[in-house]
Amino acid sequence: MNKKTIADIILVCSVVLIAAVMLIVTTVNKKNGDKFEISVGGRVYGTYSLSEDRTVDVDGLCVVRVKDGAVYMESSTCKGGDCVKHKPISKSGESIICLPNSVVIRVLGETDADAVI
Amino acid sequence: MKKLLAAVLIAIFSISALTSCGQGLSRFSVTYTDVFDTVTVITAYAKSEAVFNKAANAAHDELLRLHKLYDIYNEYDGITNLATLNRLCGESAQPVGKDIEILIKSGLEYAALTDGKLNIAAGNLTCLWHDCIANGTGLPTDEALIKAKEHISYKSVKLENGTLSFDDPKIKLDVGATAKGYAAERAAAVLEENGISDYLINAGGNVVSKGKKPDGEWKIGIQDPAKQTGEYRFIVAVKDKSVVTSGSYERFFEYGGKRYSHIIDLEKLYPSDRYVSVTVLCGSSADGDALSTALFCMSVSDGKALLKQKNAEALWIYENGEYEKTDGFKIYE
Repeated sequence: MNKKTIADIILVCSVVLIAAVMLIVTTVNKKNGDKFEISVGGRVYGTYSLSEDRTVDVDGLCVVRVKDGAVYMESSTCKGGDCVKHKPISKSGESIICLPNSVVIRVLGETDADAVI
Repeated sequence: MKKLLAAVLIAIFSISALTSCGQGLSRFSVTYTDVFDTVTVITAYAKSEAVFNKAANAAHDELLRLHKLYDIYNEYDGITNLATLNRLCGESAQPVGKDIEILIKSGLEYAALTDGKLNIAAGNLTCLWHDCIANGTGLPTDEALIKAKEHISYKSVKLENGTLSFDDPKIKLDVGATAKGYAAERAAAVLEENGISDYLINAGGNVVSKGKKPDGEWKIGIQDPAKQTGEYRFIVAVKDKSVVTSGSYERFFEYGGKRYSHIIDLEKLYPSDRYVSVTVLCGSSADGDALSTALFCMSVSDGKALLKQKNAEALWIYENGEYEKTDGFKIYE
């Protein structure tokens, strides 16, 4: 058994390489994001972890709360309040948008769809 | 020998899988909330963040310029926009710029093609409803709607040699059904002028796609009308195509327990409730925008006849969740 051929070595290396590629792919493609971003007027306000419960006061415009791995708009100074009614989000690519205040909360990470319309 | 061959093949496959992930381009994305009263997202692959930012900023400037130009509610210093033209064209002919000329020309073509179902001269009627949506007030009265209908004939809009006039002085243009689509195309052109060739622009449901991602085609999710924003029902894969969805869930208001959409059926004078969404797949976002709105107010068979003329495909989703589509509308998953 100690007579390993070149083919054996290449085979082992290939399997390891494939495993590595698959690990990278599955890590990137996982559905539940672990970070989210808040932006105001198109500029990034901050990036935060979804795994730590906290509240973020966004320049007095609104208050964003993270609880149990999901993020939602707790309160907002906007007129409509649609953003506050939005259910908490946690999956990559999901977002809550407050158009009047130009605030966007978006869960980061890869998604199956590049846009949802 | 066979083992060696297999091993080499696997090795080549693995290496190509790895290298396909990086061609020196990284993915960037930016969201704008200040154009066309909607959310616009630009996603692109670029060599560096600086390259992306420069291109995206230029595209955003173009969107802002067109937003002002096509605004029918506000006038701005130094530009003759649609609000200005709506005010003046009933009295005397006015010269118009290229971007307004293109939009009105296409609007008049669609009005003729759809026998007025898609009508850029319907501002008097559509604004009655849009005011209700914006203010959340009650429904317009039948009297007001019938009165508004007297002044929506697209045939009284005259566009000749870059000059616009209205035979009916009370006409009001409303380009809400086509402006975003055209603007998204212009923004795409600006991205390309700035060296970006793989991108996706989503201007409030008007998607323009160009090129591809390192791992394949761009994937567009079609919103599941029964779920919250961002949850898709179908995915379509696109390359160098536009996908446009008109949905009753985009903009609406609720009154007396009923939901009224922003797409007005000009024959019934009321918001259309035939479908919850219509998605159009075609070569141009301006056409897609016009077609998706027009299709919303007609039967599937009439819609299919129109699509054929424009070489476009569509997917209709009904309130009860059932759907229909043209044969050429390929669902990826």
